[in-house]
Amino acid sequence: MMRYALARIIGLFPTLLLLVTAAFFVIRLAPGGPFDEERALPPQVRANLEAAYGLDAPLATQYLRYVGGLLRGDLGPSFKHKDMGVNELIAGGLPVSAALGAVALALGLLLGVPLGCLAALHRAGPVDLGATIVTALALALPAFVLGPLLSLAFGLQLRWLPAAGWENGSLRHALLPVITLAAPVMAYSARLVRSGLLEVLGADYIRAARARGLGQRRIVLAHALRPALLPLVGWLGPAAAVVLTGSLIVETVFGIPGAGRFLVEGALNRDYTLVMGMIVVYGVATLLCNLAADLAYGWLDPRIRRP
Amino acid sequence: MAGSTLASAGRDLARHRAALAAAVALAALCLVALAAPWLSPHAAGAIDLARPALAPGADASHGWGTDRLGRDVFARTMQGLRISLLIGLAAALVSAVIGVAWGAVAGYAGGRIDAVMMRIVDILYALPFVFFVIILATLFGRGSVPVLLAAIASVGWLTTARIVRGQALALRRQGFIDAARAMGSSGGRILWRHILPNVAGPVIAYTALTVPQMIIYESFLSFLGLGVQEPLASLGSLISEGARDMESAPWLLLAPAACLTLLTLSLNVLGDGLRDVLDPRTHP
Amino acid sequence: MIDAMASGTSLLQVRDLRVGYGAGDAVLHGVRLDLAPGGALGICGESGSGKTTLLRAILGLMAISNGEVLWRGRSIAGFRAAQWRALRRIAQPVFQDPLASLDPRMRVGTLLAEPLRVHEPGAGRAAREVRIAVALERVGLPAQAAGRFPHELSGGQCQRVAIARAMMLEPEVLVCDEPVSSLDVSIQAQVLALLQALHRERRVALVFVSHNLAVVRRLCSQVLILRAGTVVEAGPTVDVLDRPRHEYTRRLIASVPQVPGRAVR
Repeated sequence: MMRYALARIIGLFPTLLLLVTAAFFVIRLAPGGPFDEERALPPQVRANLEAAYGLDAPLATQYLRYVGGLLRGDLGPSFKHKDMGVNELIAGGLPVSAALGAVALALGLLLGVPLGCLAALHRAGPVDLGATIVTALALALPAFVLGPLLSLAFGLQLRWLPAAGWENGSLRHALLPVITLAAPVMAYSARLVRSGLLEVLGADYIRAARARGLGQRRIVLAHALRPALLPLVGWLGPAAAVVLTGSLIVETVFGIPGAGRFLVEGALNRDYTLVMGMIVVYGVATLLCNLAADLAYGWLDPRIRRP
Repeated sequence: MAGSTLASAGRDLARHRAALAAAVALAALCLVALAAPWLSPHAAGAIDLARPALAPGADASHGWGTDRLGRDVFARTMQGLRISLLIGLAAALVSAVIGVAWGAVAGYAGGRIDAVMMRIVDILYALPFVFFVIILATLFGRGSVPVLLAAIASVGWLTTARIVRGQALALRRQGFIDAARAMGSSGGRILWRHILPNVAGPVIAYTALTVPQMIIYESFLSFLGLGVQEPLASLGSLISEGARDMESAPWLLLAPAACLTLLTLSLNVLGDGLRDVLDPRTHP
Repeated sequence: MIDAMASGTSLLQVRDLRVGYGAGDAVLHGVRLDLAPGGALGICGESGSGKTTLLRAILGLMAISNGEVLWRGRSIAGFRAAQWRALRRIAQPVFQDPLASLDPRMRVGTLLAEPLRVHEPGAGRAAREVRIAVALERVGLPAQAAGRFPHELSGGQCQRVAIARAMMLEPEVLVCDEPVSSLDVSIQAQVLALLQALHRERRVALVFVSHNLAVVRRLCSQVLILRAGTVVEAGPTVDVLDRPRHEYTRRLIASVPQVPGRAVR
């Protein structure tokens, strides 16, 4: 198992390099540059700026320099945030985003998995109906709707909680953003667990367990839950990466100093290094989360042994 | 035993009733959106600086109120609804076609071809969606509807491709594919006659569930200011505008938010119902 | 089309066949066999001895690592599209799981029309329907079965459909992989009788894989005993099964109840 995991981790590097290469050239070949201001800079100033950031070198040289920096863990200087490195920017924002995302992920799973189990065990009952309605609503309310609505209702109208702000992550400030992020996690996990459990509960070996006289609770906990979690795990891999690297929407709506805004902001400003840095972070997170999901797959279902 | 059968039949009926209700709601929503230009005396983009930010009901001709420029909220919301629906439907269709073709070929071919094709999907998955769209938007001009469509569809097909590929891989091991090969059917014929019909159910069901997702993607982009541009509006851009003014004029947020929620909710419920009927895995 | 293949005394020959998945141990090593036109060859062995792999290799459904499969003296290694097509008219498979070998989305009529559509695209719809009706009658199914889906039929009926489909192109050999082992015992005898009738009356050759020696004794004049991918014994069924020379064969015989089939013969 350890060797398998190690081999997989080593296998991630070529994929990551491919991703970095593709992103680097696509973003550099797109028209526009970081120094296209509203009013044109004097040519001399512009040339100096470009020389200072190494933009005057051929693209291939720049690419090699970038990859070289990446290998040393250096994401380069930001073009727009003067005197700031991309490392510093991300180090400032990512922990906030990741902490918020982790809490939301945990909350969503803690609510969603039991809800899905209950709905499957009481299929067609009132609990199932309730779960269906709650999850359908949560899925129909994307973050950019749910966030402003929560802020409007609990912040501006009822005045129970601050409508926005962060204050170093105080509970009162974090509650609404966490709920906004956790709602889709709850809905998806409840639905996936429900359908997974229903499928497993119909399988032969569960019927056999029932025929042996095992109680419903014992069947679910001892036999059914593990395989029933497979679809959830498959979904959770990529989804966790998205939640953990920060949501631009949630951070904009609630004014949170996270890393989510860097990607869009960087892309709009042609802040090449910032965009690349976020793509690297997001790529690493996605690949690691997918790997974790694959390993969990192998643990949950011993039949799956990938070549 | 009889009890549980009855219960499940009852559940199916309830499910279908929900799907039916969703279909009716959806049809009504579409009808109103399409008929809006005749239902409202105000054009969607007509500016009336004399009556800015009217609350709903303050003026009989502006039933849902006006925005800061005095534009009728109902007319604008319905225009947004039309654009969101159009982009959602088209993007779902495009991504279904690409995803099915890609996934079926990869899954049936197997081996090295499959590995390469799926590695491409993995890499596209690992690219942030926003990045994609921003690149496309800057290359081809921000706010153009075809570009928006291409950008959204370019992400939407990935999951379909994975679903179809998984199904095709499983089907490939089935005896009837071996039988077809031993009968002398060509690869193309096997894909067309045996693989595609057998994945059609899940694909249709998934595509129905993709439509609301695509609508949400589009609204998300418009919320960021990367989507549909003024004077046109989509539900997302209206929600974005509304969220900025929600303290003084909450109706600017509530109207498009309610429409988007109702739209995606009914599409989701309808899609779930379709899946129950079309996906053989859900009823053995 | 059949003329695209040279004719010889042997219908099928296998020489030193080796099949391996990947670099590891081969599933089959050095298998050889001969089948005369109209003959009946049984292939026996424990599960995992490589019987199914051998059949798939014979039909060209999987890659061969070494050795040769010759149909009428021509190696499939050099086959081009036209010769593959010709082979499909000579040899048709019948698989173990009848339900899985029928596309669940197709009605029986469509399933039976499929070989005709592939090989005789010029034939009209009416001609196809006549031949489908004949094929159904030949396997003892009513003509209305054409409108049914496989899951609406019993296992035995499905296997009859699979046999009818295999016979649509009037092949010279049916390659059967445990065709009755997933069926009820009472149904097994009927399906075996059908195969036996096709063999005796229409001179269709049989390659018949089974772990059940009694069935092989009833159906096949020649037998080949396979163990871990190697042939341990081969020859006329009566010789091999009544005077086994190999310990493995003796154990196989001892492990199988002798009852069914004997009385019919």
